[in-house]
Amino acid sequence: MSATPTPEEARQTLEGYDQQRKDSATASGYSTGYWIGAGVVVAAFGVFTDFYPTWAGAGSTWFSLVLLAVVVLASTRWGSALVGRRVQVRRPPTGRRWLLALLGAALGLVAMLALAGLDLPHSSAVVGIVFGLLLAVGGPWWQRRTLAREADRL
Amino acid sequence: MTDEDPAAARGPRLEPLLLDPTRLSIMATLAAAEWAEFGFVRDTAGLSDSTLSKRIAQLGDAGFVEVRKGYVGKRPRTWLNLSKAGRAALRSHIAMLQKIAEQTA
Repeated sequence: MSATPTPEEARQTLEGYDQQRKDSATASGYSTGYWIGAGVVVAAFGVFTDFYPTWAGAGSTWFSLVLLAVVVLASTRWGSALVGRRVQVRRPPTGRRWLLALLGAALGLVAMLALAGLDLPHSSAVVGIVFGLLLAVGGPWWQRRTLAREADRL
Repeated sequence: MTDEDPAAARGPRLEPLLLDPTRLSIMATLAAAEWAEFGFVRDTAGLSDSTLSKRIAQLGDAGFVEVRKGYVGKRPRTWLNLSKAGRAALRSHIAMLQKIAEQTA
């Protein structure tokens, strides 16, 4: 390309650039299988807690710690590579990330309190299955939207 | 903290280093992700190891790309990331290309 590209050259370059960026963003996401797997684990945890309440005390603590460790590990360069991921998802700016985390935590807390107040039978199983389904079905959709938005942000 | 960007303040301009399609392709690949492995960039941009190494060295010298080396188990890995300066230069370059592309009907 010459020092100053012609309008046609500029258009072609921009098209190639956009495609490359989209391909990279798509490749940086988690596969659908990962989301389905995460959904199944969450649903199974809810059902297990409901039917084996004695396990729930110690077991749920371990489960939460392992889950937290996996999430933290997957967010690092080294941990990501360890599980075979060659690229990390581009994260939103720090401020928005914190806002989303706080919002998610607040929503979770409200949902838990509301559920405890209702005193429904098999509430743990219901919550586990609902969140599991949300992860398995909504996860890939949410990821596609987020990745597309992040790919557009330079 | 502000998002003030010196490149944006200067207005859009073409970055000579990014007029090379290969270098622009590498920058585009890195722009949509964080810390990509050397192999990922090589495969996504469709380059050979040596071509990518040379281009990364040029982009690194310009301060556009950060390079980190490490090990996962016993295997050596190289990770690449777009620096703040690189992102600003790319933003400015793309804005200028858009301006040029809009020039004709």
